[in-house]
Amino acid sequence: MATLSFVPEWFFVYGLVFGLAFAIITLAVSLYSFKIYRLSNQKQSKLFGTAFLLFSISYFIQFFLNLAIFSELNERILNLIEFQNLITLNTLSIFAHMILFTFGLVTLIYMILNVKNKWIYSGMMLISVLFLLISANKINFFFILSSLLLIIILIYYFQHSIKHKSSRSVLMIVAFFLLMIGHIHFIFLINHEIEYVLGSFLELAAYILILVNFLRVLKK
Amino acid sequence: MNKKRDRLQVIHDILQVIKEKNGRIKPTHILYKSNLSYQMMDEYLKELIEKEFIAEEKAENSKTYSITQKGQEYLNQYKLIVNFTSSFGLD
Repeated sequence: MATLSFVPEWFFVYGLVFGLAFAIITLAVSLYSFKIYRLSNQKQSKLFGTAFLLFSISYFIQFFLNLAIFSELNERILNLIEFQNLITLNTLSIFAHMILFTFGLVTLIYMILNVKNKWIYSGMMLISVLFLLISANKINFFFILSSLLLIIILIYYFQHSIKHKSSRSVLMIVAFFLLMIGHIHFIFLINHEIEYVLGSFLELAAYILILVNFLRVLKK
Repeated sequence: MNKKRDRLQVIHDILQVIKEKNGRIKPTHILYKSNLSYQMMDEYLKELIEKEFIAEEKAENSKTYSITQKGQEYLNQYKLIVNFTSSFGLD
């Protein structure tokens, strides 16, 4: 997740590329999940596809807004007004990412709960966004909330693997574990640029594992 | 058929039974072939009709079920569905 305020200058382009890669991987998984839903009418596939689509949109928005910031920074020497615009653009990209990513995680939690109640789903969305908006340190709160949600998702995948005696979902366990560690990492080290880079690499490793899992399905 | 079957497999087994009977079957045959209780079978049949995987046709004193194009597609893509759902923990 590349953002103007925490990213070391040398890493900004890499951050952009990482973000684009995350967006494409999550979009591919999402579209395939919708294909599985069309074939099977299985509710879980629809929710999984929705969650990954939300992740994908969150990364795409951030990518395009950061790309705009990057091209503005490269094109000319900025005056104060232009700099203020860039700050607004950066804030917008952070907020869009945080809200959509949280919605994606909440959708996965709703899928795990396996209940058919749209009020519960809407309530979970509303509560998470409300807390995000009213929190004093929104970015820190986002990483705390996402870490907690990722822990629940991780527990689900552990239980699923044991219940089904299946090694197929092991890659997902490791992927969500890396995402969780990455987000916990961001909570404590958000002000240190180099640790931000490490967190981004943890995210990259997680999405590579999700991609490997996806390619394994396509190969069979 | 295995004793422990998940929903996707039970749906596959019911559709396969209908397909093997030239695409049209009576509920008693499904009950016999699918290894389910009457109540379970009834629930699955309702779900399959709702999902448009099978169609119900009522005659004077009997009902028959036939497989639809969508049900046929499910059978053809079953392995793909199972691979995806088990790999991503959706089963």
